[in-house]
This record gives sequence, structure tokens and C-alpha cells, in this order.
Amino acid sequence: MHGLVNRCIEAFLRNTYGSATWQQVAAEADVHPDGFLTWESSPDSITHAIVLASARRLDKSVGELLEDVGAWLSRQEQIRRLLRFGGANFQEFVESLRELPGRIHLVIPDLEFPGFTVLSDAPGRYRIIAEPHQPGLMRVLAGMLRVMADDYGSLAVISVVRDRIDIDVVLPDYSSKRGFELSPKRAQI
Amino acid sequence: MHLMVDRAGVMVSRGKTLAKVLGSASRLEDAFIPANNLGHRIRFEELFPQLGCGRRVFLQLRDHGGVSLRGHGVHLSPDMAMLNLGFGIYLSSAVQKFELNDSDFPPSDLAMEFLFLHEANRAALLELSRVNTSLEGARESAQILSITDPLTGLLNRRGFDVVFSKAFEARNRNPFALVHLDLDHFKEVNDRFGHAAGDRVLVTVASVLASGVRSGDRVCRIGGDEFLILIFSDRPEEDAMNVCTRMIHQIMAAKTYPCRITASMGVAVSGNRRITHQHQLFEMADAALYQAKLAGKGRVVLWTDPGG
Repeated sequence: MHGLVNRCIEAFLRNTYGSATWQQVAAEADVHPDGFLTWESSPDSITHAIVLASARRLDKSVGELLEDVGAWLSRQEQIRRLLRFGGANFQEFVESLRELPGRIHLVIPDLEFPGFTVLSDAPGRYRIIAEPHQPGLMRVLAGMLRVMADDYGSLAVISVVRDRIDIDVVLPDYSSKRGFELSPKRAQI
Repeated sequence: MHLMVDRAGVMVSRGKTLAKVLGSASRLEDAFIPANNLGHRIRFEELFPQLGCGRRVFLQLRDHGGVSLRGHGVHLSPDMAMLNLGFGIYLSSAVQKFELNDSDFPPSDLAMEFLFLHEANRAALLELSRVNTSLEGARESAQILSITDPLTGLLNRRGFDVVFSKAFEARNRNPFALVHLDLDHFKEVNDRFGHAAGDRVLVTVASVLASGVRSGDRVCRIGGDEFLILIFSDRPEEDAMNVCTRMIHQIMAAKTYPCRITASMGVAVSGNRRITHQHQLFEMADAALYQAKLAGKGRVVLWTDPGG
């Protein structure tokens, strides 16, 4: 797994539950308590150990934990902004998700991001299917989608079943959108 | 972004996004300073006939010097030309200055991808520089640890060698005295009272030495009950002998020992012109220390040339 994935889980734990929680998880998963410094790829077993230890520590299921990681990630202003480049409204955003692996590849070429297919059988109804089988990724993505639906001010029902996400956009303009200026400087003031 | 302009320099028609940039300007030269491909200013009369020759056109915004548009043009008729302009490398500042959003760019335009990449790269760089900062911090503390004696917090031999080499190179400008200190009968403390008691004695002696020198001077524990001290002074003999005499008394006067503790010291100064190698100074300090031990311990001896 790319070092950034481990780093993301570490940052999520430190940021949400404090560094002490991270250190307990690190001790249980047998990784260095200073965390992940480099982008060096590491065996998937390390990522799995951290995820399992975190879920146990926080008394959540692995699925819940991964959804929380996705939600936390999308709430980081820099990431939120990058995601908002995907489209002008939530539907456009969902439709542009199939470009996400390409976008990630542009910035961090060695991050092997698994692909997924976005299907739509009716306006506002979408189904995302992981390819290959990646149930963990779908959980993270579902967490991200929930936060982004709020961010775009849309009311959507999002459900995850193993490696599949179903999205039903009930009210596209349910509440007001959060601001998104193309220029980051204005947005940060 | 399109811009239609006639031979007289009047902007006849402009695209929606360009309209945001141009405001109420009606003549091309009211809004822009035209330039050639080398960036030199040219007049509109020179620019107009060049359109359609395949050359690039550069238009610097008069009111926003930081933004320059570039593009190319064709003649629709002898009196009318059409230009296609873009923000080029100034896209980010233009987006900020004119509050542009994604509907200001046609779907085929790469503006959004450019801005996305710009921001994504910045985020990646920020993460990398966070990593660099913490690696730098780790390197620094590892370096400090590697030159520190863990028991007393003084320099260890490795750290002292670095400091001593620098001092030796600069000995003509900054003369100094090298002091070699050895506790008397220290082995008995360990044997009679145990190593923990011995360690407490060493810590006490270390703190007497560290507080007995000035801030530029250096104290080092080279191992066991042996210490080295560098005392920088323009009169190294005199100052070192004063400092050492005072420290010997302070070491004896400390009350935390299980038994009586005294120290012997040998002093050598850097001023002697015959000294050409670092080890000579160590040997002189060592010889003086030996003299101090022979003369009854608990005292400081300054090295003197046995021949002269």
C-alpha cells in the first residue's frame, strides 16, 4: 500500500481522537509511534493491521471506521477543494468519479488507485461498482460521498453493500452549498 | 476567449469571460499594452497587420500588470480581425483577480485541470515538506544524542573531539587551556557503596564542572571518572588555574557523597609554538595530571616543559 494511505489513517486518528490513541494503535499494530514519514510503499498487511487495531480500539466495525476515514478526509479543506473540482453540483461530482483514479495518477503517479465503474439507470440514481473486488475502498468512498453531498447541499441516500454503493439523490438543492471559489486564497480568508 | 477588433482599434465584440476582464474599455489599447514575442511593446498599428501571420500575440492588461493574455488572430476582412486569447500561465492570478468560476471556461478548456493540478501539487508539496521538517528534527536529535554522555548530559568523547578539533584549528586566534580531570580513589566508591552511588558522585561532579565554566567553554566526560574541559581565554594559564582551583574546592565541598571525594587536574595551554598536533596537547595535559597525582592528589598542575 502506498505510504500516503497509512499516513491518512494515522492523521485521521491523531486529528479525531488524539495522538495518544494513535500511539496505542501503533503499538498494537507494531508500527513506529512517530508514524509514517515517507511515501514508501509498505506491505498491505501493515495497513490491515492498523485498520483492525483502530476499529478494535474505537469499538467500531471496520466498515464504520473506513467510512469515518473517508468522511474525515473529505472534510480536510485542501482535499474538499480538490474534490469540488470534480463538478458544479453533486450529480456532476458523482458522474466525474470515474475520472478520480486518473486525477490521482496525475498528481501521485505511484499511488495505485483501484478503479470503479459508475452506472446510472435513472436521473439522480447511481450505482458504483468496485473493480476488482475492493470492499474497503467502497466504504471509504461512501464516507466521502456523504460529506460531499452535504457540501453540495444535496439530500442523497447512500448505501454500501460489500463492493457496491447505491446513491439516490432525493433533493439536489436541499440546502445551501458550501462555498467554492476556484482561487484557494480567497477561500482561505 | 474571442475578441473582434477593427483596423481603428475598436473592440467590436468580446467573449463573455473576456467581458469580465475588460470592463467598460472600448478600444484595445485602453485595456491592453500589445507586445511582440520578445515582450517589447508595440503599437496597435504595428500589431494589426501582423495578425494572421501565425505569430503569437501578447496583450498585457493595462490595469492588472501581473496578467498578460496570449493568443493568435486572423483577418476576417482587411478592416476586421478576430483574436483567440487565453490566460496562459497567468490563469491562477486571473481567476483570483476577476473572480472567475468554472462556467467561465468552455468544457474543452484545460483551465479547470490546470487549477486542479496546481492545487493538488501544492498539497502534495506541503505534505512532503512536513515530512522533511520532521526528518530534520529527528536527525538533529539523533545527532545530539550521539555526542552526549547519557549519565551526565555532558559531551561524550565523540562530541568533544569535534569541538576540540575546531578549537585546535583556531588556537592562534582563540587560545585555550585543555584540562584533564580524574577523580581520586573513585574505584573505591564503586567497590564500597555500589555503582549507583558512584553514578551519583559522577553526576554531582559533572554539575560542578558545568556550572564552573563560562558559556563558551566545554566540559566532556570521556568515560569512567575522567573528564576533559576546554577553557577559552586570552590568558589561558592564569584563568584555567583559577577556575580549576575553585572547582577542586567545590568538588570537595559537595555534600552528596558517601565518602570523601577529591579530584586531580592537569592543565596544558595551546599557546606553545612547538605544538603542531592535537595529540601533543592531550599528552601534555595527561602528564600534568600525572604530576598532580604524584604530588599528593586533590590539586591542579600546569604543564611545564621539563627541558626548559
